[in-house]
Amino acid sequence: MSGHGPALLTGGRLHAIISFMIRVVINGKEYQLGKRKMRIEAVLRRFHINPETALALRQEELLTEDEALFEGDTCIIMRTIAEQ
Amino acid sequence: MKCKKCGKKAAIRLRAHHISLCGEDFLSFVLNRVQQTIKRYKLFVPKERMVVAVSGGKDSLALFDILQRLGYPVEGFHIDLGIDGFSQRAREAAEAFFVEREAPLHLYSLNENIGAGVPKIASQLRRSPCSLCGLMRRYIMNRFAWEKGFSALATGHNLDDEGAALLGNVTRWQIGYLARQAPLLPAFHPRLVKKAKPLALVSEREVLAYCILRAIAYHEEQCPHAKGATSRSHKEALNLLEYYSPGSKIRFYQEFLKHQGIFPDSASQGLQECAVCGFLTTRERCQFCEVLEHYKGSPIPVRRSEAGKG
Repeated sequence: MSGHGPALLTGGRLHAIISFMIRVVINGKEYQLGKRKMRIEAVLRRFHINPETALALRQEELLTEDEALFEGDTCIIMRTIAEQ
Repeated sequence: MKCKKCGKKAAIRLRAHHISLCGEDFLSFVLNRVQQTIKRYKLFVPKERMVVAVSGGKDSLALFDILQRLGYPVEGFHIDLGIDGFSQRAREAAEAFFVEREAPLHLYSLNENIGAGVPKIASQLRRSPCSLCGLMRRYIMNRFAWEKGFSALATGHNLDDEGAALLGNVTRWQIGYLARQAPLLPAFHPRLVKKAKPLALVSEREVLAYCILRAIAYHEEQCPHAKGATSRSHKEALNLLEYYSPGSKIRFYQEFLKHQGIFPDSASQGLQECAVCGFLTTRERCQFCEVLEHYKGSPIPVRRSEAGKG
């Protein structure tokens, strides 16, 4: 195999790296945050989102801003104001 | 964070109301809020026959669901605006919602009734699609409700919509609009059906949470013609205020309603019946009939005899 970087990360090794990430989906676009734990309020701040215009979901469960996300979690941020 | 009502894990924090609630108590909170709005502003009386204007988006579907759960005998009305792809997906979402609930949905298609959708008519008349769309929707909704004998037309305008409209009217000092902006627009003429906004005190974020918790599959897409709309920047400005001072949106709107009497209302002055269709206008012919005449070269037929009342 002549590739470099991510192409070498296959199978279990790739899965292991992704599971150490927190995944955040905003407007259908996925972001990976290299954190073990992060509160929703910190995620919103990280993406400059006003909490008054958003809701956070983890596995179809609504989360308040003080809830924490952990590695391996996927969080969907739903916006009340559509992106332009 | 715990639910203030039951102590279970909270699903949402409502800073404007100084509470956090679990999913179940939040749904009850929204129902109470809408019921209070209906009572406070005398929007409907029990068993009043009303139709909900349904776009397929979150606000209108949530409104229908709420009114139905509150026991009102509601029906839906959807206008297919003929916007390529977008309108088809909106219509599908509305139809699926009503099929699931086995509730009556009335459909009106611009393509089928007029022969073209909003973009085509706007392009031919060289008008902004948004102003044309608003004009046509208002006319068609009122006429439909009147002809079918509904006594009220409910729309899904939420607190953010109302706040943004108010901010827009204030920044331009649109006195006439300020005099009329309210959760209830009464039927001050026999050919008008009263318009009600039962979600006027429910924020957009609360409506979104309601749809998620009730598993309402709404049409999420934004209209392709709405890009750059000023209402969006007004909503963002108000939500920034809300962030720094929770409760700002509701205070802005409710305090305005308390003092609205200072703006003179001349809406009913100079109104007459359109010479073509018989509905209200300030001119000889209403704007809707003028649009049709310019687009098709002929006005729509007079349908006064079909009317349910008036």
